[in-house]
Order: sequence, then C-alpha cells, then structure tokens
Amino acid sequence: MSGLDAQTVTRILADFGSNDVSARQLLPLVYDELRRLAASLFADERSNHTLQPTALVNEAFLRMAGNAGLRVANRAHFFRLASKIMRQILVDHARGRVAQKRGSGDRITLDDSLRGIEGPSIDVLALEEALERLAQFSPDKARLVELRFFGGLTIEEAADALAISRTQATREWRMARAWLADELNRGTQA
Amino acid sequence: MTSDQFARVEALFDGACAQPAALQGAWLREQCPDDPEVRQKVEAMLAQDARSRVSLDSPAFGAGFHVGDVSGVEQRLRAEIEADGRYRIQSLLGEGGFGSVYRAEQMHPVRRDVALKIVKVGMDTARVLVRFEAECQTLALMNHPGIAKVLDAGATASGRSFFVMELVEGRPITVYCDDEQLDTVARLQLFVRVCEAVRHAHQKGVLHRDLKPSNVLVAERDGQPVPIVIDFGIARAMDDAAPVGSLVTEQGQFLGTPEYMSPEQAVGERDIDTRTDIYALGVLLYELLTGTTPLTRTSSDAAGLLEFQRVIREREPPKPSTRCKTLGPERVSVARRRRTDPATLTRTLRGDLDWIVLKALEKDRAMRYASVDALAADVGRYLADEPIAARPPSKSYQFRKFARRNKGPLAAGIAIFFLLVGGVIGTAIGMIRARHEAGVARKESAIAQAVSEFLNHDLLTAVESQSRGHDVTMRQILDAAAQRLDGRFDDRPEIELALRSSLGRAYRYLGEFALARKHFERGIELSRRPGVSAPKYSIDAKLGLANVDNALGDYAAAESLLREALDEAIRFEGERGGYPLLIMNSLAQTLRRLDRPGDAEAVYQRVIELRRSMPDSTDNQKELLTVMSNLGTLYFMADRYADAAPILSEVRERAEKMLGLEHEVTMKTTYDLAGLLRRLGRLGESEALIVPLKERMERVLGENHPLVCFVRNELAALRQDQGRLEEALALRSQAVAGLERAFGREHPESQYSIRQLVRLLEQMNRPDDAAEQRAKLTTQPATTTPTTPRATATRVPAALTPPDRH
Repeated sequence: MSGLDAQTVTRILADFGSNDVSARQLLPLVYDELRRLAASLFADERSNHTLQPTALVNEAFLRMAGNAGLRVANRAHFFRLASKIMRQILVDHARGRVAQKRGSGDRITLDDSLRGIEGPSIDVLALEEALERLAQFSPDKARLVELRFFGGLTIEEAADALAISRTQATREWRMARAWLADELNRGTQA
Repeated sequence: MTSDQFARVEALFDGACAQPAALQGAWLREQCPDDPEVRQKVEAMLAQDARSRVSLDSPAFGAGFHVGDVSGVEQRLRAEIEADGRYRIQSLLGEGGFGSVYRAEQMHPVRRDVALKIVKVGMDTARVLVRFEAECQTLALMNHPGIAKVLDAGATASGRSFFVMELVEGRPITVYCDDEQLDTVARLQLFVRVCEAVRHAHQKGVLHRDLKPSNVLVAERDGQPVPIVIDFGIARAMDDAAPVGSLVTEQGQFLGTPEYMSPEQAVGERDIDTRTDIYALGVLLYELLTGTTPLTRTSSDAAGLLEFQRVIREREPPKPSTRCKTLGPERVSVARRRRTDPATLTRTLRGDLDWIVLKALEKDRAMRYASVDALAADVGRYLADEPIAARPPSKSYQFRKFARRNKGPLAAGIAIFFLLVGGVIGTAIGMIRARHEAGVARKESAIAQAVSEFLNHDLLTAVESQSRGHDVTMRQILDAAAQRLDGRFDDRPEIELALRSSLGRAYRYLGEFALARKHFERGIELSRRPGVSAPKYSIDAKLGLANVDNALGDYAAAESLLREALDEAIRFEGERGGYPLLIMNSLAQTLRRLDRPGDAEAVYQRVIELRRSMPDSTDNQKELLTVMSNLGTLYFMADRYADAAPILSEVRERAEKMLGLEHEVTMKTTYDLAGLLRRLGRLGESEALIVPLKERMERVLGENHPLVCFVRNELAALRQDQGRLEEALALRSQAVAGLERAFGREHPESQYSIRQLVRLLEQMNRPDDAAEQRAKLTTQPATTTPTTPRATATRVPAALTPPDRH
C-alpha cells in the first residue's frame, strides 16, 4: 500500500474532509488498492464474472482501515472518494474492452453469465452516459447515485456522506433511480 | 431536455408518487397539460419505479456491472446524427480523451467521406459551438496540403457537439516512422514538413494547442509519405468550454494529453501562444528520435496525474542522447527501428540534436524558439551540416536551471546555499582582519580554510552526485553534508562547531527545527569543551538554538540561552558590539512573549539608546529601524494603538525607502500596520497593505512558509470583517495546514489558528466541519508554554520576529 502504514492511513482518514491535502494524500492509496483488487477480478474475466463494485470497495476499505476502528463518519468519507474512483476504474476498463473487441465486430455481452444472479446487471458505459446527463441537471443526484451504485452505501450512509437528511436522500434516490432506469431503457431500444 | 423541464419532471414525479397508483395518470395530465415531453418522461419513470423489484434500502440495484453491448450508446448517437440526412456514419476510427471519431459519409452539399468527431459528454455544447463559430472564419483561411480542414460542426439531439473534418487515411507519425523503419534523417525530414504545416496555421493566426502523434497523421500519396495535421481549431473550442481555471478535472484527469502539454498549459494558463505549439513539436521530435516522450508517467492514476502536472512545470527532461543511453533493454529495438544500433544512435543525437530539442522544450517559453520557422530552420541546418542556432547551455545558465529546479519545494534553497558558503567564510575572514594577534589570526584562518574546503568540496560533491538524473532539493544537499560531518573533525572541534552553527541555521531557515536543534546543541556542547575557544561560533550556536526555542514556543529556555550568549558577547565585543545589540533585541522579543512587556520595553529602549549614541552608518540605521519596529509591535500588543501607529508608520516608510519592499523589516512592519489599521476599522487602508504583502511573501518565501501562514490569517481576518467568508475560509484552512506542518498541531500558533478556523466555521454555520477542527484542539495550553500570552485580539504571532542577522 505505497509504503504507508495503517496508522498513517487512519490519520489521513480521520482528517479526511477537513482539507484538500488529506484527500489528495489518500487518493492514490485508495486508487491503488481498488485498482489492484479490480485487476485481479478483471484477470478472471474469461470466466464471465460480473463486476461487483460494492464488494471491491468494501474489501478495499477493510484492508486499508485494518483494525484501526474508524468512525462511521470516516467510513462515509472514504466511500465518497472510493465510489468516485470505482466508477472511473469500471468505465476505463469497459472502454478498453470495447475498443479491443471492436475490430472483430463482436458483440460483447456478459449477459449469459448473469443467469442465476439476483437482480439486473447494468451496462457500465450506458450508465456512465446517463449519469453524466443526470449530473448536468442535478449534480447532487448524480453524486448520490455514484455513492449507491459504485460505493454500495446505504441510503442512510449516503445521506451522511452528502450531509443531507435521510428523507431527502430517499426522495432523491427514488427520483434518480427512475430517471436513470428510463434513460437506460431508452438507450437499449434506440 | 432543458433544465427547466428537468425541474418540472422532478416536481411532477415527487407529486405523482404521493398519489395512489391508480390516480397517477389522471393527476399527471391535469398538472401537466402543456408539455408532452415532460409528461411522457414522468410516466415512463413512474413505470420504472413501479417495476423495481428491490426496495429502496438495498444496495443499488443489488447487482453488478457488465461491459454492455457496444451498440447501445453508439447506435443512439448514430441515429441522432443521421437524423437530418446530412451524414451517414460508417465505422469507428478511434477514441480519445475528447470523444470518438467516426468515418462518415457526407451527403450534402458534397458527397464525400469525412471524419466525424463526437465530443464527450460533460463539455458545454453551446459554448463549444459558439467558440467554434468564432473560429470558423480563421480556420477557413487555412489552405495547406499538410492541414486537414475542419468542415462543419453541430449538435446532436441529446446535446453532444460534433465536428466534421476532412478524412485523412493515415497512421500517427510515430507509428508510421516505426512501421517503415525510417532512419533519423528521414524522420527529421518528415518533421520539418510537419513544422511547415504548423507554420502555415500560425501565419493565419490559428494555434493547434493539442499537437501529438495521434493528431499528426502520415498518409501515402504516390508512394510518398505526406504528414497531415488534423484537429486544428478544435482544442481551442473545447478548451473554452472546459471547467474554468484548469486543465485538470476534479478526478485529476487532464483534458489534454499530459505528455505533450506545455508547462503554461499545465498550470491552466489561458494566455497560450505559438510557443505552446513549439513545445509540443519539441515533444514530438523527442519521441520521433528516442521512442519516448521527454517526461514519462509511471502510472496513470489520478494522483499520478496531479504529480505529473508538477513534473511538467519543474522537471528538466534528460537530453535525447542521455535518454537513448538509459532506455535499458528497449534501446536495441528502438535503434533497430531507426536502422541503426544503440551506440550509433546515441552518438547521432548527442550535441546538435540534443540542443535543438531542449531549446524547443524550454520551460520558460521566452527561451524557446521564437517561431516554428526558427525550429524548422535549425533542423534544416542540422540536415545540411551547417552550424545550428541552438547552443549548449552555459555554466551560468545551468546554474539558473539548478536554482529553478530547487525552487519548488524549498523556496529559499539557493539563498541558503549562499548563506552557508558565503556567510561562514565571509565572517571568518572578517574576524581575521579585526584581530591582530597572530596566533588568533592563524587559528581563525585555519578554521575558515577548513570550512571553505568542506563546503566547496563536500557540499558540491553532494550536489553533483545527487543531481544526476533527478531533482535535488536544498534539503537533500544539507542532509548529505550533515552526514559527512559526523566524526570528520573529531580532532578539530572549532571547525565542527563553526559548521554545526551554519547547518543549524540553514535547517532553521528551512523550518526544520528538530534538525536545527540537533546541530546547535552539538555546537554548544563542543563550545563548552575545555580548550575550545571560538566565541563567535559559540554565540552563533546559542543564539540559533534560542531562536529555535522561540519558534517552538519554549520562551523560557530561549531567555536563559540568550542571557548566556549576551554575557559571552559583551565579554567578546563590549556592549556596543554587533552581537550584544542583536542579542538584546532577541531577548526583548522573548520577554515580550513571556508576557513581560515592561522588561521588554526597557531592553528595547536601551538598544535604541545605544544605537543612537553610535556613529551614524547605514547599518546602524537599519538596525535602529528593526528595533523601533519591534517596539511598535510591543505597543500594538499592549493595545497601546496611539503609541504604536506613528512608530510603525514611520518605520514602514523609512524601511521601504532604505531597505526595499522585500526586506524582512519592511514586510513585518507592513504586516503589523495592516493588522493595526484593521482593528481601527480602516479596512480599505489595511487591504491596500496586506494583499500585496501576501503575494510578495509567497513569492519570496514560498507558499508554505510559516510566515506566509500568518499573513494569510491576517488577510482572512480582514475578509471576515468585510463579510467575504468563503475567501476567509480558504485562507484560514491553508494557514492551519501550513502551520501544522511547520510546527506540529500542538504548537500555540497552530492551536490559535485552529481556534480561529473553528470560530469562522461556526459563523458560516458549518457545524460538522467546525466539530472536526475542534477535535484538534488540546484542552490545555501546550506544556512547553505555560506563559504563552493570552490569545487576545491583538496577539502577534511569535515567529514573526525580525531576522537575526549574524
């Protein structure tokens, strides 16, 4: 972990949110850890894994925080950062894959692998597109979605991380989710 | 969909959710009879909402992600672009940071193949297009076989902008050269033609701003390579629509291509000119010659990019020939692609080509080639075996580079270097002149000799060995020198004492108080050994340590050291000597901090009295100003504004005239006066003093110097008084971060700053942030400073004291 011990990470996490410096210090650590974890999953992709960012982020957090006993607030701070990075990693990876496959004219879908998995799976790039559109209208909702989708935070945690009430978070999430679901739906029909 | 429509969708969706499901449709038609687009969207959303199988509380969608069917997003975009019948998309050509490029067929007005570039989401479409239209006139003026014309621009229904260009069927120039195994001469010939195209554009007033291999394509016509530059005018349009102030997004992504970005672009400079393109051409040439860009990134992560931004500004790239030599195993294949072997390639590059490339890559654009023409001409001269215009750097030039390289992290680096080399030798020689006794003179001379040798030899060796290949900071040089000191002068304690004093002072200057203390303490220990007699250095060490104690808030320890040094100095020089007067000044400062203003005032008055009775020299005048300034500060702190104002005004005026704006006395007095005026409610006058002072100090001392933090706090207080709270917050946050780093969190100065920050956050109604800061406060005053002055409104930071010049 870039040579930083758990104690340092804890200190940075404790400071996180209070100034830019610590966020900047933390960024590479979280990024490295997440990318490393993601890479091990990507390497496995032949076996048609569906990527579970929530699991990745959680694992990264557990590894980095160690037994340091972080406060919940810190956890929210951490996830605010991690979800943003996770999103970037997934999108970069997806773009790379798409570009790779394009020459051969293959369709890339991992849909077959999704049988048996509960709930739907989302096309990373389609979501990214829709999310950027959402951000143009309502950056707050886009951040909320980011925390939920890529960071795996509960409504309550996301509300904390964004410093909004739980009621507000629930309402915004419901709206954002419906909006996105419809956008994604249109995308595939076009 | 517009923002207004979105807001309406949001309100209607919320409203509809509150209705029973069966009534939602009717309710919606009643509420929104006029806008079918909005209504349909809300209906669709309600349908999605009803369909959701997962509850709102579970993790999002309860599922993972996959890399989806490519056609999903793309097909929609294609459909949008093809909708008005002017273009038909054929295939994807490539993807870059700005978006995707397609081969397309233009149907009207002419039927032809074109390249169509769709800009990524996130750019402000309207601005891109406005900017592009503004540029169109200029772009139309360009007519050169080496430039691909931009034909059209537009926006898709979902709001993405696109550009249409002449289609170039070619490979990126670097790929072409490697594929075809062009040798260095052929590469240079191709490069000159690229320069000619760019020159044409510059003559028409068009900059490229994003020159890189993927924008310089080589097509083959009649079996001959033809370089063609694409994307002229596009970077400009996009740059303008990017988030203001920076080329780096929140996630640390560059909007351009970092390896090809000039230093002025890396800092977000908007004032870009032809020399920016020259820099990029320099990078291109570097890559054509060596196979790598001058500055390479080790990782592509976000933090790496922030760091890389700094690298672009500060790191000097290795010469192409050096780079070639150090490529490692790759160098064989790099050379083979140039139809040669590594050794020959290195030889070819060494000399003229090195200087040409480095001149194009100068960080300071004033040092680059003045025009693309000049660059092309120099390459032409090389090809014709004529003397080139670029010159190998001179010694003094190299020194300037060294100075600049080291400016980054430690602003005062070079100054310290002279402080060390010049200061020690200078004073030692001065003492030889002053003392007539032959024995003493010989001894002083021997010390000076040894010190000079150590500094010139060891220190410079350290510089050289460290500077190979990467940046050296002053700190590294000092560390290396300090390491060489241990055990080196065991038999000559006076020399070690002299050097310890110097190193201690240098570290203190850098704000490395712990290291400074170590050297001073060692020096004092040596001075107390029997038989050791070097009063000047012994006094230096004590004074230095006292200054460290003062800076760290241990004022009681400082007082006792100063009294000891004062006795020694009076024995050495008499009361009117340079040292005693200097020490008395420090002593008074310390007494003031010990909250003994009466004692302090008496010492100041004594110094002023002594100075006034001395012959009237410029030096004496300067010192007098310093002491008067300090007395003014003392009055200020004791709330004696009526006494303080006239003395501070007088000192500031005289100091500015006699010592200049950047002198410490001028800066300190300006700082005090600004604070005084602010407290007297004269905010305009205060602002006129403090704003330029902050800029000056940042420039002179560097961004992170503790004194700069104090000035930030003062400016913050002013902004608060003016009600400009956001600005105040930024300043206070910076100040706290800087002080914590310099002194540690527990230090009274840091604590004081944190308290101010907490108060501000509370005032701004940000309780969470305030609580986070409050957690940093120690409940008790720091143990080392039982007598720290109360944090009153008129408090002056302890460390902002006049310099000790010795």
